[in-house]
Order: sequence, then C-alpha cells, then structure tokens
Amino acid sequence: MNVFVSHERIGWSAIVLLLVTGLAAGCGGPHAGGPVRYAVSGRVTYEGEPVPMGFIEFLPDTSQDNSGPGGGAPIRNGAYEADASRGVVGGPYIVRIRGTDGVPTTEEGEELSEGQELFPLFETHYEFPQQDATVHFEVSEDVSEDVSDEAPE
Amino acid sequence: MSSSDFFLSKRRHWPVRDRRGQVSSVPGGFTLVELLVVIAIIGILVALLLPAIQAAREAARRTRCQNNLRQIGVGLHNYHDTHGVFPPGYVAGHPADSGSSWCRNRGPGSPSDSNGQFAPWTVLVLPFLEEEALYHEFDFNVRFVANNIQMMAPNRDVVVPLSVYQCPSDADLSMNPLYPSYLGVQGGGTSPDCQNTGCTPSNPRAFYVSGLLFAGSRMGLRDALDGTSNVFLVAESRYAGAAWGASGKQDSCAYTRILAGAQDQINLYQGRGVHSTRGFSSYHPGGCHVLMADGSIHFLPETIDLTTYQQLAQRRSGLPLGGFRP
Repeated sequence: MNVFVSHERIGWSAIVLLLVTGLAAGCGGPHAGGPVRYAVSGRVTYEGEPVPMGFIEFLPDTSQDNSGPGGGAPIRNGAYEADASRGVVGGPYIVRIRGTDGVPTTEEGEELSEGQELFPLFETHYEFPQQDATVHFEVSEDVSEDVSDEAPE
Repeated sequence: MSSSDFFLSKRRHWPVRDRRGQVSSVPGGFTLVELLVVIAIIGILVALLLPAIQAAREAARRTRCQNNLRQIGVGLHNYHDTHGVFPPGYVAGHPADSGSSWCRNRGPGSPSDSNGQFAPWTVLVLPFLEEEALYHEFDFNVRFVANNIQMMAPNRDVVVPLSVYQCPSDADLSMNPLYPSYLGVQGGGTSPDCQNTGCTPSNPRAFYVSGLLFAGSRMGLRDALDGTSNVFLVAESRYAGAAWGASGKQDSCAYTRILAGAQDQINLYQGRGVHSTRGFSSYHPGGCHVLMADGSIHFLPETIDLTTYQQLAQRRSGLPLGGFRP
C-alpha cells in the first residue's frame, strides 16, 4: 500500500477536483449578448503606402436593409484588427476610414496627438461575409473603390 | 517505517496520561499532506471569490452612477417645472439650426455672430441640484468657453468637483476630477446635422439639433414627440475632455464640450478626443447608462442596433422602435 496517499484520499481528491472544475466552468466570461459578430482585420493603404494612424469604422448599410451594431478599430502602421466584439454581423456595410500621419502636432492650440490628416473622410461600401474576414482597403481620392482580397481563416 | 513516512502520512500519537493515571495515546496535529490540501482548497476558494468581489464593487459603483443620473434627471425635470422647458444645451443668442455649417453657437448679436457659448445645462440646473450657492458664484455675462481642459477666467475658479457629475467608475476622474461623466444629448444620426471640419476634416466635430439639449435649445417635454420614454436626455461619456462647466471650444477647431450626439457605436473609441461630440461611452463593462426624457435610466448595451440607438437620440424621428434589445 502507498503510504503517501491512500485510495480513500485519491477518491476525495477526485471529487474535490471535479467540483472545483465545475465551479470554474460556471464562472465564464461576461456574456456579451447581441447578434453574432465576426472579427475583421486587414491593411489600409493610401496611395500604396500604409496609413500610419487612423480609424476604420463599419456602419451597417440601412439603405440595403442591413442592421446591427456598428463596429470599428484603430489603424496602426497600416493595419487594423477589429475583434468580434467590435466586428461586423456580415452583409452590406458602409466603411469609413480616417487616416493621419502619426506625427503629433498642434493646430490652433489644439494638440492633435495622431498628427495631420492625410485625406478627407473616406467612405466606401463593402459586403462582409458571415465569417471572420481579412479585408484590405485602398484609400483613393478620386474613386470610392476598394481593393480587397478575402482570406477565410 | 522511516521517520519521513511517519511525518507525511501518519497522525502523531502523543503519549498522555488519562484521569486514572494510565498512559495512552491520542491523535494530535495534522500531517503535511492534510495541511497542503487545506491550504490548496482555501486558495481555490479565494481565487473564486476575488473576481466576485471586484464584480460586486463595480455593481456598487454602477448603482451610484445611476443615482447621479437620477438626480440630474430630477433636477432637469424641476427646471422644466419652473421654466416650462428644459435648459438649453448651453445658452446661445439664437437657437441653433442646421442651416449653417456650424450650427453650434449663435451669439447675442447678428445671426452671423458666432460668439454664443454661454452657460451650459450643467450650470443652469445647479439650483435644482441643491447647489444654488455655487450657481450664484458664476459670471453669466462671460462665455463658458474652454479651449483647453480648463475654462476661461473668471468662471475657471468657480468650477469645483461635483460628485453628481462624477461617475465612480470613471477612471479619468483621478486624472482630472473636473471632467464630467455625463453629457447632454444633442441628437443623433448617421451624419451630424452640421459639422466643423476646420481642423480635422475627416474627424468631424459634430453638432446636432435633433435632440432635446443643443446650443440655444428651448425644448420641453412636449417636443419629445417620439414619447418621453423613447428620447435620450443625458448619457454617459468617458470621452469628455474639459471641465464640466464648459459649454464649448471657441476657435477654428471649435466643438461642443458638454453635449454630444449619437452617431458612433457605444464604447467604440478608447481615449478621449474630438469623437466626444459623436458618441457615448463608459467604463462599465458592456455599455453605458442613459437618462431618458421621462427621467428613467437604462443601461444600453454596446451591442445595440446602431440605427435604433441613433433614433433614440432624436426627439421626433417618427419611426417605431423595436425596443432596447438589439
């Protein structure tokens, strides 16, 4: 017989372990609620160059009968990553992109920590799939056209 | 049996003398294994308990935060009882309209006079929040402008931290206790009614006139045509970047300080900034509180349908709502 741990104790340990596991499983993260959303990530370029700083925003296109919460993510060094809690429900969306040069400056006494803007508010339309997606956007001043390639995960 | 086996697994039996003087042995003390198991169980229980304590503390902060909004709501309703209308978002010479590119502030002079950023609703409602003494300290003949965090003199020295404008969950109050945790709702929509694109064209400083509190507004309960329980009056924001007594910023980068519109999804942005004019937010997990025109307080989830949220900020969207749940 093992003198360190008796069979009886192994039995008790197993029960305690099961209970604790059960309790821990009940303490899951906060349930976000709302419709199922999908993560979106990708690159944002302006005239071929990555956008240093900015923000990309996804608004459900109500004119095309889409609805849901809006999403978005900051752009850092030409890349953005919106996790599911800031993502899209899929379907037609209006995408708004702001981009700045990332060099802090002061204008009229106001500190612009993200720097000067590179282009006026860029708005385009995109139909997101109902899954996590990687979408690349090219900001072009003359035409509202996006160059996108999808890479399902 | 070796001595180590004795310490690890067997209870020690101490020789003692009972009442009749006979020597016997009784069990005493715990083995190392037993101690370790007990400590482990206590550790697990504490680990389970700690997050619960933090959650309970946040729940308590949320309750206080709601109570502040409740007090503000009662104050605004008492103002309405006295004056027949809600206070203006801030006092301006003329009510704002969407006819100009900057519908923020008309001065007391000609309609083109843009120097119209006087006392905001947060100051006007003070007598109804039992802060009448503080109210009378303000100089109402100067503009309540804050081009930086702090307001211009002389009202700069009058503004003191007021707990009713401080949500206990607002982590930025440790940075500056003068920041307001609550902003008046100017209105809402996919695009602002007018916007200042002078400094940051793609990051517009939004102005709305579709809500109940905007520049020079004179809106009462009768104007909430969507129903007073369906129109926002005041909502939480962690974006605000000036003292609570400031109505706006007055230069070519002008924007409203104490008012905001519902354009962007709740909690979309991380830091403070110009987007304070376009959305609401809080440090509560999952959403933010709003005070409706009828005085009720709701916790709006950040997953709310964007259009529903924008329409709730408008006093007469004329559209039916599917309720709060997205």
